[in-house]
Amino acid sequence: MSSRISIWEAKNQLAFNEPLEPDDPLFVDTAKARGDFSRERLYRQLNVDKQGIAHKPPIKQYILLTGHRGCGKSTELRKMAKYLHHPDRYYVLRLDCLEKLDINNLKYSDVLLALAAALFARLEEEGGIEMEQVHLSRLENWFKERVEVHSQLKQFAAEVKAGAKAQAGLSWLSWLYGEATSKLGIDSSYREELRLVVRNNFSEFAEAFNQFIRASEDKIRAAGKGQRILFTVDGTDRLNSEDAHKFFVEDVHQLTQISGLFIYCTPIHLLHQDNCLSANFTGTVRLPMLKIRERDDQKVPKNYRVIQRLALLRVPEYLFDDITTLEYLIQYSGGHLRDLIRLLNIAVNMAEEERIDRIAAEKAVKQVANEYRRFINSADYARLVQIDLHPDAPDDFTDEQSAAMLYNLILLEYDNYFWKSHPVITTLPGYQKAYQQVIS
Amino acid sequence: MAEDKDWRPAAEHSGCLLRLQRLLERAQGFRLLILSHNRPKYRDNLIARLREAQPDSAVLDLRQLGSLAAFEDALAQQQVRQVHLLNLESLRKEQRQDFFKGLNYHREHIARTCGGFLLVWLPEHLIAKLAVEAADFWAWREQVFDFILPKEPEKRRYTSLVDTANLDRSAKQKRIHEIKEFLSNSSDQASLTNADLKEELGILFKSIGEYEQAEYMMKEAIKEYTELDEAESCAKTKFVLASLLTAKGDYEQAMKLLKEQILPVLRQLKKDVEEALAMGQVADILETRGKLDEALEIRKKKELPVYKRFGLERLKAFAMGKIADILVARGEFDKALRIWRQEGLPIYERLGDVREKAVTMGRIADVLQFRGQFDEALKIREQEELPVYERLGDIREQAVTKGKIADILWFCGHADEALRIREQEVLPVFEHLGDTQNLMFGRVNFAILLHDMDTIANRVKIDKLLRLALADAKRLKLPREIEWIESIMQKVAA
Repeated sequence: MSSRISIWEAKNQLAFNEPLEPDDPLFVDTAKARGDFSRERLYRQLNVDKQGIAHKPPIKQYILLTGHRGCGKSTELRKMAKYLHHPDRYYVLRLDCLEKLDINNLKYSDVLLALAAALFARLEEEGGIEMEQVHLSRLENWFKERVEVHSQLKQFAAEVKAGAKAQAGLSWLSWLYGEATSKLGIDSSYREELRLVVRNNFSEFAEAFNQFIRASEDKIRAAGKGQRILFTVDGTDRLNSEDAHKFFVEDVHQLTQISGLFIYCTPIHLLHQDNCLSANFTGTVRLPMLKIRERDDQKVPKNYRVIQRLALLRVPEYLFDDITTLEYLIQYSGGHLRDLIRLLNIAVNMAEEERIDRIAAEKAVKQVANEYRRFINSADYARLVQIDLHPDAPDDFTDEQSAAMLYNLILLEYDNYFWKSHPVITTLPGYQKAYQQVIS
Repeated sequence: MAEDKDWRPAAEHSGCLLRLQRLLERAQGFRLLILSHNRPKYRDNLIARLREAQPDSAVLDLRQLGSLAAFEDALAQQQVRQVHLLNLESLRKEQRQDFFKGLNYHREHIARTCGGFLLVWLPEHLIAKLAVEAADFWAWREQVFDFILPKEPEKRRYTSLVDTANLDRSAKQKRIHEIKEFLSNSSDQASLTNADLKEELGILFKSIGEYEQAEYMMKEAIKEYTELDEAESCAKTKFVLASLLTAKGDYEQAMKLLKEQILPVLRQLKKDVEEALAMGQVADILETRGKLDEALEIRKKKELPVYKRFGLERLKAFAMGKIADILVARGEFDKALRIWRQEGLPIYERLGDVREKAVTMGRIADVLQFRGQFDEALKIREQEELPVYERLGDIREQAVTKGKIADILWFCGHADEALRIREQEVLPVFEHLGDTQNLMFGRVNFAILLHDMDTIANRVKIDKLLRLALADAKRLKLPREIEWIESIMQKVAA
């Protein structure tokens, strides 16, 4: 029999800071608890059939993956990438902008250079794939003719060359673009100049990169490692309203000049603010909340069980006074995973003894509600009540106010497309007062 | 940044502070804590308190650092478990917006660099801005800890047991009625006012011998303080509850409450006087159980020095009186009398504490009675003690005193009057109060009187009284008393 863990050991398993890999012991597949959401829909968009075979995907496809902050996007993206990375399907290349780049004032040029660098590095590491010089020359020349000659980047080019182990071939290209990416990632004096060079010579870069992608896809297919390359870009959902608009709307034509298959993580509020998104992106996959309630607030027991399993993997049942205490916390999380983790964390902080009892759980709900209260005004309460009373018609309420509430997580979006207030908000006096006013 | 010598955290923050300290001590990995405050000095004292418990910590001040880059550089240089980030409010609006944006975008990097606790101290208005402008950073918060002080700091007046005990019976009843009426019309919402009143009501019920109602109200007050996160008030009410349990003879529960729930909290909150008082109560229980040396040690080393240090005369006199009690139990009567007469009575007289003066006089009378100085003892009982307890409506102390008067009358040959007092004026009161311990002693003493008068005629009554007393002694787990009662039973049987 495995030994019991303490409430504080359990707490250490309640971390926010890292998305889980699909093979992590704490990973629980939550897709089926998200209502009508299914990965298969995304796979179908990528022409992957039920047998898991990719059939002639389009040359160019840009898919947006979106969902509330903390609803499990990064974890879900990893899960999908793991499945899609297969000889019958795709050769998946993952870029986490938060790791590789400084997303403060992120530009499309930063992402595309980083994607190129990541592809070169992966192919170099990959055994059995050899890229002939003919496929490399255009990108080498672009760098030589556009970057090396630039007066303010000469010093940078010299530093890069001096540090390189090889001066030709894929490893040279990998080194060049890798160094350029790292200069973009840190606030170096070269950053703005490099961005300027890419912007002014972007078409040339895009053509060269497109050609390289085609060639490498042929090699990858021939080596039995995948049918096409699929790029997944995480971290771009972090962009604030202004930066996200620049990246996904204003610069979209440059961004989408690359002919390839891409999944970009996108902030949810952008979808409610920018109608032109659908014109430039081929599909949007929304990752909804875990659907623990229907629009009439009826519980969905089978989805409760999924989220309960996730919680119990971290905090075993013997650390609750009763399993109904966990159910209570799940109910007030609204199916928002990070808020469930937060409620559990705070309940541990509030627990008087070495287990979470109902009193601690109630205090945790009150605490989280108060934290949200800080940025809700009386107009928001009135709007939340109206939405809760008419959950079927979110379109009637789609405007900047609702977008802000979705962004701040006081309003949650569920699959089959309905909105509901975050359950903790309904405990606040402001909400209750607004509710009384509406129903009277 | 050192804590001011006389600084104490506000009572309303005590629960929050304790939880924060426990979290800092026990949790692992990166944890982002947001702490709201509105007084820099108060914040600095809180930080000093936290750092005292965990020196492996650092303070980063944005007044000096000025930018996110400088903050990140400084953070990278710290190899500590606890980093306090201060004075974000000192940045200009644009700087602050950049800082928030940077926190949001560099969240993962900051978490990795920090590795432990990052405590961000913010005024309330900036918390909402952080939540919106650095929404992803905010999303990783563990909890917001609230250390906001009221705009007009107002010291809450704690209900004092002495204030209540010195009221006479009709005043107590009036006050009980007043509080009950107020509570019945107030909302169910937890509030400090209601909790304070429930505690006072508990104390009032205790003072008039309604122990069950007293216990219920004290528990209600504790529940409400807990809900309001008032750890300090909660500990204080638990302390009053422990004294009630002691009075009821439930020593085990009282001791458990003191050791597990009261003393650790008072220690953590650095409430030295309250801790000394709670230790005094531990000594009371030890003394009752015959552990005189341990009790004396506590009085001398844990109580008295604290009262002396804070110049608390009444408490010092009280502790001295308790030391005298132990001396009496050891047979050192003269020393005890000297303490009461020179270090107790003058102080209570000066302070106008009629109850403690009566209690001290009663102790002096105990010694006189034991020495056979019955006239002097009776005079004190009838003139200095009984009228005071009657005026205060303290029926328990009246009954105790009447029992002692009955003993004197017995020794002086007034057996019938002594029996009448015991049977009609003492035992019914203890029964009504549910005061198990006094009821046990009362029954044994009454049985002894009956035995001395006529064992054969009173046989059935004596047996019943002693059986009931023995059952109570066993329930109270008092070995000396059990032995004592069993020996009396054997004597009676012989």
